[in-house]
Amino acid sequence: MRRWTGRVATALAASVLIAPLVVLVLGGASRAWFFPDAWPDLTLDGFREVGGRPATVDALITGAVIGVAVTVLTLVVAWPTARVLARSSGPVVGVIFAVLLIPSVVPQVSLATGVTSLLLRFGWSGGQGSVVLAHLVPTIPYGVAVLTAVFVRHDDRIEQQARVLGASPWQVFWMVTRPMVWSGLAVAGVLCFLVSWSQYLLTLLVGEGQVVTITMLVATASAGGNPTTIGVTATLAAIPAVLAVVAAGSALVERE
Amino acid sequence: MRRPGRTARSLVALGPVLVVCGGLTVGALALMVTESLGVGEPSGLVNPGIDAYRSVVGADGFVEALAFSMWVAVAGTLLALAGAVTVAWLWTTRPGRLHRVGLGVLHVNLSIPHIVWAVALAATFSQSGWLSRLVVLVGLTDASADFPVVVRDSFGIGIIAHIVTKELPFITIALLPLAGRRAAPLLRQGAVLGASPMQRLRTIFLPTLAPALFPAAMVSFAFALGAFEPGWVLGASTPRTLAVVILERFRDADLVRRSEAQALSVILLSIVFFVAALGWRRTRRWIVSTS
Repeated sequence: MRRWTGRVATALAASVLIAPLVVLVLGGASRAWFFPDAWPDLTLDGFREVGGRPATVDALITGAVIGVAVTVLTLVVAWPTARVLARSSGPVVGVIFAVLLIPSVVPQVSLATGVTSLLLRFGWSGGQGSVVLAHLVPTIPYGVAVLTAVFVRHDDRIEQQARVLGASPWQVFWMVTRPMVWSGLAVAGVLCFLVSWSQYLLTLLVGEGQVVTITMLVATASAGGNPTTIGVTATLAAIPAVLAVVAAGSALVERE
Repeated sequence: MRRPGRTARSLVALGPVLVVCGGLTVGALALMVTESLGVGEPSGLVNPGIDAYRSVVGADGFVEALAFSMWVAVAGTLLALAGAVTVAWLWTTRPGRLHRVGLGVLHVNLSIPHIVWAVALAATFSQSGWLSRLVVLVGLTDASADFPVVVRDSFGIGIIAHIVTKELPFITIALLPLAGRRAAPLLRQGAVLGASPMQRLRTIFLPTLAPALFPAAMVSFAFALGAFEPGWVLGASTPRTLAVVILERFRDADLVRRSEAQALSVILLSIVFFVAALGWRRTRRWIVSTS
């Protein structure tokens, strides 16, 4: 009995977390889905029409380009920091982690208005580059945290052995370090991409409305109230996120 | 001779992160404070001083917005905490094959952008949403108006639902490593020694999770208090969350409004730091002794 109670509770909780996403997909795959119909007449017309609009395609590409740029920059910047933090201890490490924790404990809207004001002062707002720079504020802490956890378990004596045996720094990185930290690097990369891809407020304010990503189209569609447009844009915004999690999960399973 | 070289290399390694992340964050916070005080603004447009604070605190609806923001943030965070602890407890004490699927569901939910999730909740739980249609289908109601208002309602139920459903996965995932590695063996020992489930929960499980529980709760509270999307999509036109008010004022062409937005941001930030300091004082002993 208790086992069944647990299973029912788990199924119910999972339904609450999954059902709204199913409703979005159904909304996108519907046309004139009127109340009180619980199930729409399914059609892909909405996905073809809304998904095929140049504005939608541009928003997807813009979000992806910004996400990839943010991910690469975050990993490049976080890598050396994580290696140092992984083998250090003491108050300096605490201070650095405290600095990295600030973006997580500052209310999102406060951080967004502050960063926007700062970039405005420097004349750096309104372009994709400035949005990339702004997204680094929330992504770098994640990148450093995940990579530090990776390097804490990393045995750098193997790299030293490779160096002793005559490998160049690049060979050590590519043939020794990279395979050893690959799964952790993938998780960090996926996480940073998702954080960037999901940003709405920072993109809206720093981009001054000129940088349009898919999350901004979702907001516009939400204000418009057309269920098909809402469903299509929201589904498109959610798909890469879901795929990224599946990919990261696969990388970890392969590692296991 | 080796040590200075290593220190220098460490500084070079840490520099970019501190400059980009630390510099932007600290700079943003500093500017937020100075702009709220009207310092550094073009002369004559905004007077230096606490005018912006006087203006926002005295404005109609400030107390309501503050109380409403605190209500949804506290209720959302506490419910998410309770849910996450329950899930972690169930998964730790009753291992099963479903957990991997459940973990996948949590990760998928966590990866969904907030604006998408808010829109999804609105499409599901509004009066003309999917749940309302299912209720009509089974004959419990006849029209959309018969379904209770849980989205864009004056109690913030929709916003709280957003906070709970997004933060529960985050807190659960933060708790699971400690629950599995540290709490599980201790719970087994407790059971062997005859401790009741409630004793195991209170004296073993919760103290063991403390190092992850309280930081996760603080991050969740900060998110809940400052998140814009839930209040904008799922909130009523009145009362509004402070985050929605801040954004509205920040985007106003009037520079005075922008100073007011920054003043509200400083107030919001102060609340988070105050709650964080309180939480840290109360939990420091646990966190230090168990981490």
